[in-house]
Parts: sequence; C-alpha cells; structure tokens
Amino acid sequence: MLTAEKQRDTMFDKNLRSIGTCIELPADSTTEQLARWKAAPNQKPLHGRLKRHAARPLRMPRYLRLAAGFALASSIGVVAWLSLETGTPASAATIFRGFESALRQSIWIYFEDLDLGTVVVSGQLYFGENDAPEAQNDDLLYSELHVKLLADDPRWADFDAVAITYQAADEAWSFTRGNGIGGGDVADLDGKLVPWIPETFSRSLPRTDIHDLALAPFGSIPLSMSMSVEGDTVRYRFLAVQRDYIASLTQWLLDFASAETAAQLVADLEALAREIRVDTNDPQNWILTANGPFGPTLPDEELTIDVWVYADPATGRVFAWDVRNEVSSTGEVSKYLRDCRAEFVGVLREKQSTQRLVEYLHELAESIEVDQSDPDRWVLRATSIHVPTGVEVFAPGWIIPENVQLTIHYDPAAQLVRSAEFANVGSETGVVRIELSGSAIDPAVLNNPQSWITHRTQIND
Amino acid sequence: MSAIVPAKMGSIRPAENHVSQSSPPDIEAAFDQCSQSLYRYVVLRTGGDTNLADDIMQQVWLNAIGSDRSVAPNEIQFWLRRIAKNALNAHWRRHGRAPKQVSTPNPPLAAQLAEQLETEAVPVSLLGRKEIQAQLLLALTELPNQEQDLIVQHYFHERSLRLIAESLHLSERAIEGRLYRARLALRQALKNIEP
Repeated sequence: MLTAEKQRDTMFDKNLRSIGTCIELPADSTTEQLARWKAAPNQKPLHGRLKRHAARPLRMPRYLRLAAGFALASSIGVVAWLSLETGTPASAATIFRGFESALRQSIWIYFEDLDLGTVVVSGQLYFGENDAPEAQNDDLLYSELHVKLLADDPRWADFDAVAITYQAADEAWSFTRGNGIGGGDVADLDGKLVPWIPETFSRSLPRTDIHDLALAPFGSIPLSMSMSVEGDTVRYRFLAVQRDYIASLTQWLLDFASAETAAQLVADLEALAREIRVDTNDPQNWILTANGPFGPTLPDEELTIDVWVYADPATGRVFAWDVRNEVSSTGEVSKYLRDCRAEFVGVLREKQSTQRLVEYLHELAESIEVDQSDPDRWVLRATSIHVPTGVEVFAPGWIIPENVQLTIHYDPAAQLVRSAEFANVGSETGVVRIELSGSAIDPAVLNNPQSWITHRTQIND
Repeated sequence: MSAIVPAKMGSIRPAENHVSQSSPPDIEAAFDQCSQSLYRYVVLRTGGDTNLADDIMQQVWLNAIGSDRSVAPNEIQFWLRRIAKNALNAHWRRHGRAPKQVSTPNPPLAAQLAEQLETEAVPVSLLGRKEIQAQLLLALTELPNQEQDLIVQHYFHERSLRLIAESLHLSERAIEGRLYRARLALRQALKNIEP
C-alpha cells in the first residue's frame, strides 16, 4: 500500500512525463557561449594615472542624478537590442568594459564645432603618462582650445581665440593668441574688422587643474565686447555660462582619463544609455551606438532678485541703482548663480537711459513700486525679478545633453576599443571624439611652443 | 550540453583537484558547472531573448570574478544565482518594465498547479497552456543545479535512469533516489514560488 506521500510523488512523476513532452525548454548554452561570457575584460581597479587631478568630484552631481532618473523614466517601453547580422552575439557589456580598459592608456580628445550660441568651441586635449625617468610618475597634459566668438555684424570677422596649455612634471607653459594681427585696438583681417588681443607666451603656470588652466587665458576676454567703427557696432559675447559649460565639459572629459573616476564614469554611461545597438557586420570593427543624457550641463536653478533705482524727481535722471539680493552660500551652483547675476547686472548697465532701464524692469519684475517720500530722491523698487539662469535667453538649444549619441568602435579580435565619439554635444553640430589607440606620443613634440611663438609674441618667463 | 557531475546533492564540488578545503572556492569551476542552469534561469527571465541573456551571463561572470566577497563552496551556486537575479533586476530597472513575454511568477496559480500535479492526472490540454508551463519552468529553474539537471535530463530529454546512471558512474538506484528528491524539491518550489 502506497503512502499518501508516495502517491503524490507517483502522480507528480506521471504528470511530469506528460508535460516534459509538450513543453519547450530554453535552448542549452554552448561551450562557445561560455568562452565568450568569460572573455570579457576583467574589471580590476585602475591604477596610476592622473591622481593629482582626480580628487575633484564631478561638477554637477545633482543634475546627473536627475539625468539618471530621466533616463530610467524615459526608458520604459524602450527595448535595448543587439543586432546579430553576422551571427556573432555582440555584447554591449564587453564593449563598455573594453572602453574602460582602453581609458587606462594615453588618450586624445578632440572637440569639433561645439556651438554654444554666440561662441563655437573646438580643440584637442591629450592626457598621457610621462615616461621620462625624471618625470616622477607625473602626468602629461596638453590642452588646445579654440573659442570662436561670433560677430553679430557681417562687417566684422569672428574673433578666434586660441589658448594652449602644457603641463608636465618639469615643464609648463601657456600660449594665447587671437586672430587679429595688428597692434591697435582693431585690426583689419581679410577685409573684415576683428578685435586684437596681445599674443602671449607664459612659462610660469600655477599648479592647478587642467580644465581651469585651459580656460584661464580666456579670462582676459570680457564677457561681452562691443566695438564700433563708423557707426557699425559689433558685439561679441563669451558669457559666464558658456565658460562654465566648457569648464564642466573639460572636467567631465578629464574624468575619463582619471584612474579614480574612469570606471565609475563608464558605468554611468552604461546606466544612462538608451537604445543600445551593437552592429557586428564588420568582424574587425563592432560599433556600439547608444543615446542618452551624456555629458555635463548646468543646473536649472532659479534666481530672483530685487532692484532699487534711485532717480532725481526733477529731471527723472537715474543717479544710482543697486541689486538688493546677494547669492548666498558657497559651492558650484552658487558660483554659477553669481555668474548669472553678474551677467544680468551687465545687461542692466547697458540700459543707458532711465526710460529704457525702467521699461526693462517693468517687463521683468513681478511688482514695481515708487517711493516718493523723499522729495529729493525717488526710489523705484522692482521686486521678484526672475533672472534667467539657463541659457534660453542667450543661446537657446544648447547644453541639453538628452540627445547626445555615443558611438564606440571595438575590435573584437584584439578586444580593444579604438575610439569613442559623442555627437550632439552642446548642439547638433558638436562632436567630442576620444581616440584610444594608446599610441605613445613624444613629449618633446608637445613641449615645443616654438611652432606657436612669433615675433609678435609677448614672452613672460 | 552540460554534464551532470557526481557531486553531493545540493552542492557544488569546487574543483577539488586543485583547490583545498581552506582555499576560496574556484569561481570559474563553479561558473562552468552552473552555466547551463544559470543560462536557463536567465533566458526564461528575459522572455527568450538570448542576446540579452548573453549579456546578462557575461555580467554575472564579471560581477562574480570582480567580487571580493568570501563565499563558502556549498553556497557558491546560490550566490551565482543571486548575482544573476540582481543583474536581471538591474537590467529591467534600467530599461523599464519587463515585456509581457517575460514569464512572471504567479504564486496562487503555481500552488494550484502543484496540488493538481500531485493529486490527479492533469490533461495535456491544460499542461499545454503557456501560463501553466511558465510557472513550472520558473519553479524548475529555481532548483539547485544538480536537481534541475536531473529533471531536465529525465523528463524533458527523456533520458532513461540507466543512461543517466552510466554518465554519472552511479547506480540506477542512486539516481532514482536523487530523482525523487529532485521532484520533491520541484513540488516545494512550485508551492513556494515568490512573486
């Protein structure tokens, strides 16, 4: 006599035999698959490089967290897929790990046509290890940034400024040049007018972060330059928000070359990536493409200020005005807000007549009141003025990273990532390309300012 | 096709030829041994998307070898399973809700199925229903490697006890006993399936 338990097992056994014939199991894995799973590059901690620069955290962590949230939210319903047209299963994870491994070598980063509205940025950065015995394991950094300030008058040429910085253990220099060729305030170049800035070479550099160094020479260029010849006025604008964006972008790219941050940065890319696709048509060059909110941006912070204007009741002339609020606290966001405030104050200063100033404040302020209690000095109080902190006013459409497209080229035979490219950076034309060939470069080639120095160069040793 | 190795029921033999008892477990040997059941586990939970399953398996491997955690040899297959589960969860978190074709546990249905399979001859028409099969496969792929392989070999690949016994260098009687415990584990897995 069968026990109850035995009866249950017997019935279960019988049913399993039936179900086993009509159920479809997932296909078994193959030994080739097993080998491929284990062929992924090992994620051991990175060592060595750029420690001196790596302590600085990512510039906009709060926004990146928002971006991550955006990516997760918007990826619902979006299916990542991998193409298998050659029959070889491609692996996005393999390529991302290969990318991370490749970042341990020397890298070149090229900017092309980062259109920030009133300026277009191009350039190249080199991050490498200095193999010279006397280098004491210090890093080799070379930055060449071209910032073209666009003229808003066709009679004037765009103002093309280049700033180069080189930094190694035992050598550092910087060079700045504009495309103006004269010694006066304005030079004629190819039939167009262009501002002129002194051409300088400096051999003494502060030991600071490369992204600050790269932008430092541009500090001499004012936020806004207005020039006039025979009644034609041109205006060039290189705003604080634009400089801030370039600094953020440079910092972000620097983090790719940093031993401490590269792995996390690649992991962030992987996490933020949407619509990942791996094209394996070319057996020597797999191409991974992905969309995502990659790259830095600026915080979407609100800034509200009050402006008091002091006017003479008899003439209506403004003899003073001031901004009542100060941006409090410290940190990157506050710095950014202070920049925004400074820009807004600059705009107010350009309102050269009382009428234009008051009209402008009327447009922006939520309330305006005039205090006439003092017969000698009326006070106009414009309160709750929303100061644009984004760039919609200055350059609509840029620094929106949601549509940035990442492309990685991977050599499966060598298990190497050759290059990576970010498109739609800053605008539809902006491209940042990271060359990962690992090819060594002779430091002497970079450390040779002679190709830049001319007889006009002012040398500061 | 993975071989069923003569290991202690419910545990992995961590490559005893070259790893002493006090050494950390050989993750690669365990991964190799569990790869078939792990892959089955992953494919089922990706809705049959073998490309995605490939990526997840690679992630499991990377996470396993990159981990500094000390794992007891008899725990390693469950640890690998947890890594796979986490990798799957991370994937669906990143890419949104799992699509409809991905099987999801249905505890009431699974428990009812377990009861029916134990007490009556279930008609093939019912066993052919996808939601029924899904619950059975979800429970099956939760089983330890050895038990899962035994059930797959015997009931799905229709290998006789004798052939299985020969491949494992064990007696038919021993295989019969192991198969009984595997069925018992599957019944329990069906009853205890987690949402």
